[in-house]
Amino acid sequence: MTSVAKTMDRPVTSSWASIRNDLVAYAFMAPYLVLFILFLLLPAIVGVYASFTKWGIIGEPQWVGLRNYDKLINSEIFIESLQNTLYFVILAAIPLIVLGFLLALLVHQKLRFRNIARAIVFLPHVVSVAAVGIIFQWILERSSGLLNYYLGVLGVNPPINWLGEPESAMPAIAITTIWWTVNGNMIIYLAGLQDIPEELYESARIDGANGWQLTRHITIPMLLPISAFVIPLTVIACWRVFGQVFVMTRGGPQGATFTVAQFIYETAFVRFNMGLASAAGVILMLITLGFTVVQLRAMKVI
Amino acid sequence: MRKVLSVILLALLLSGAATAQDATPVTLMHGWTGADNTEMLNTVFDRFNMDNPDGLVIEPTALGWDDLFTQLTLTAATGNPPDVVMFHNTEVTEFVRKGVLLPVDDLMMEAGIDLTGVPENVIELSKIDGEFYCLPGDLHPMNLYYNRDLVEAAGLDPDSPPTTGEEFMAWAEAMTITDDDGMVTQYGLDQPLGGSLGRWFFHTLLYQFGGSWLGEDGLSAVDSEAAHQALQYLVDLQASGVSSMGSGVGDISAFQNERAGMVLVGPWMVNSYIREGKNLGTAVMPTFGSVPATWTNTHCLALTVQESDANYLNSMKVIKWFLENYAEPGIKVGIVPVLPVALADPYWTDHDFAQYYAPFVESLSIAVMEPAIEKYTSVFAFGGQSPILRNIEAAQAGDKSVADALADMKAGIDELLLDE
Repeated sequence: MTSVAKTMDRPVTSSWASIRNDLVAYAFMAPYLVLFILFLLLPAIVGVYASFTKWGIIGEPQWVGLRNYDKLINSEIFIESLQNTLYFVILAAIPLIVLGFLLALLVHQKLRFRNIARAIVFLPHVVSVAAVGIIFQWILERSSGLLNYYLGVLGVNPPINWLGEPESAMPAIAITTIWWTVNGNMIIYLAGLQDIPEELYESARIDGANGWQLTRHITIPMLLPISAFVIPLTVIACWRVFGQVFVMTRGGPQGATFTVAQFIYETAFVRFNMGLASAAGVILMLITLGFTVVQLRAMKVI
Repeated sequence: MRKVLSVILLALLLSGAATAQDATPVTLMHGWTGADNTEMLNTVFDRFNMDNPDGLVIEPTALGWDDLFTQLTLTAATGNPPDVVMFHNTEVTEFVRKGVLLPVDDLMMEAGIDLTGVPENVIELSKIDGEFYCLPGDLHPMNLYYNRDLVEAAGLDPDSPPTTGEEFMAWAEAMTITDDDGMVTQYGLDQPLGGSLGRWFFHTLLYQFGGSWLGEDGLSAVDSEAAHQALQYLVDLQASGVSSMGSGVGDISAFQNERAGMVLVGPWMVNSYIREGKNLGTAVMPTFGSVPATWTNTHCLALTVQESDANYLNSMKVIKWFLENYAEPGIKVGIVPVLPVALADPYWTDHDFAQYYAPFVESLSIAVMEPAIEKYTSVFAFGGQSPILRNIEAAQAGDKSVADALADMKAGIDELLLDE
């Protein structure tokens, strides 16, 4: 009887230990989970619901079915905001990823002032979007901006109205964004570079590999998991571009820098059409989700 | 002895805390955040709080204008709006229709507020369906600033500023300087393409040529001949090469950097320009069309609908005090009071800046506001969706003909007006 009891005790104890382990794990996750549910999951669910309603914040939402989506599909301004945002993604995301990688390679070298160089490159990341926007407004100013001054010295005349012309405004915002955020990708790639075992490079060098071959056949493949993280994150961030546009151009000139995020902001908080803004938010979420899935599939990560 | 002092100190602290607790707070939300306006305004609120009349204290919250409209709506939706909101007359109708603002005729009488002498058009804009919903504090019309040093250097008389379109253009041309390579080193005028300043100048020209934003049917009237003349003037002005055209949203840094001789903007820039040490001149908006007119808006104070009416009269007392003491914020923020008692205040009349504000006071009689319609913040928004800004910018940049720009502007405004 005693031995049977002992035998039966074992799984009970094991199962209790497992539950206890789970509880401990959930307890550690709880602070984040609570915030995630309150400030991300629930608003997202409410947002999806709101996208099927007419709602001006004050008063009760009225169910309108797919009317908001129908409006958006037929809205020239919304379609234009999608096109503008796609243009920004192309202009900014590729340099952000490529330059982030190249900068990481650069500051990974055993240079004399490596740590100082890393700090300098990372410094813009700590500047707020409002300050970045205002600084670049000054730099890009037409008549007295620093950039046009140097271009003038090089013989570029008349000065370019960077933020005042539809053709140059979005590239100017992309340049601002790259200067401001490329260092984030650099840091992630740098962490990845530091994790690549030195033995791989040593054995390749013994086999006669040159610098390009080391990068092509060791560094890039070894950084694939890092790229699988960096690329979607960068593309999603570019799709959500808002702050620098809001500070520097407010979507102008002639709507040339008017992005989806600004459409959502203005529709929700200037026109107080929460239903339409929510529908635009759902569409933006689906687009970024679609891009991410396609990218990860192309990289054979999923 | 030390114990006695400690007890006295504690008693003093407690009595202070009791006084603070006894004071009734009146929360006030305002949008004066440009330059150092919030700090300037806080000195006025501090004076009220030091005086502590009727045991009241003002608890101000400063927000940018866009944020203010958002926060006012959100706090009203959650049942916790500020007691008093200070914004523009043009936004009143919209917030009355949303049920956010309170009619205040009875409270005005009870608090003893007297609006005698305030311009009639401003009084009318403060009423919806015959009832007062806000109390007007000031007007801030758009007028002409010029740099006296640059004017003199161009061989012009800074004491005889331009009053007509022709004189204005002559000044602008005289102050535009080009170097040997054909590069403009100084502009006559700092007028940005589009942005709110572009809209306000278009508004000014529209009314000067005899037009208006809305027709009798309540829809846009920007397809009129007057609108055509107004936009054509802006297009020609930009094409003439005398204007900096700015860089980005509302950029008038060329005037600030003394690389442009004139700029058209409201009185709120006086403080900044004087502080920068400019040899400044101001003048009434020149008449470019057939009728003198200039863009303006007003700041007004309104009460919000609360769950309890306990603080309504207190809030109205705060408004009364503020309106009667408007001279100080008027000078410090750069706005022209509308109440005669404030305009007669020695703080206003004897101040060194009075000379710069004089043309702004003079222009009150020609100042015209944008229509205070229910969808004002949608139609006259600053942002990228605005059909007004987009089409003014497109015409000035030469990307659309004036006729096409106005047709698209009308279609865009009408779509917003008709949208349910």
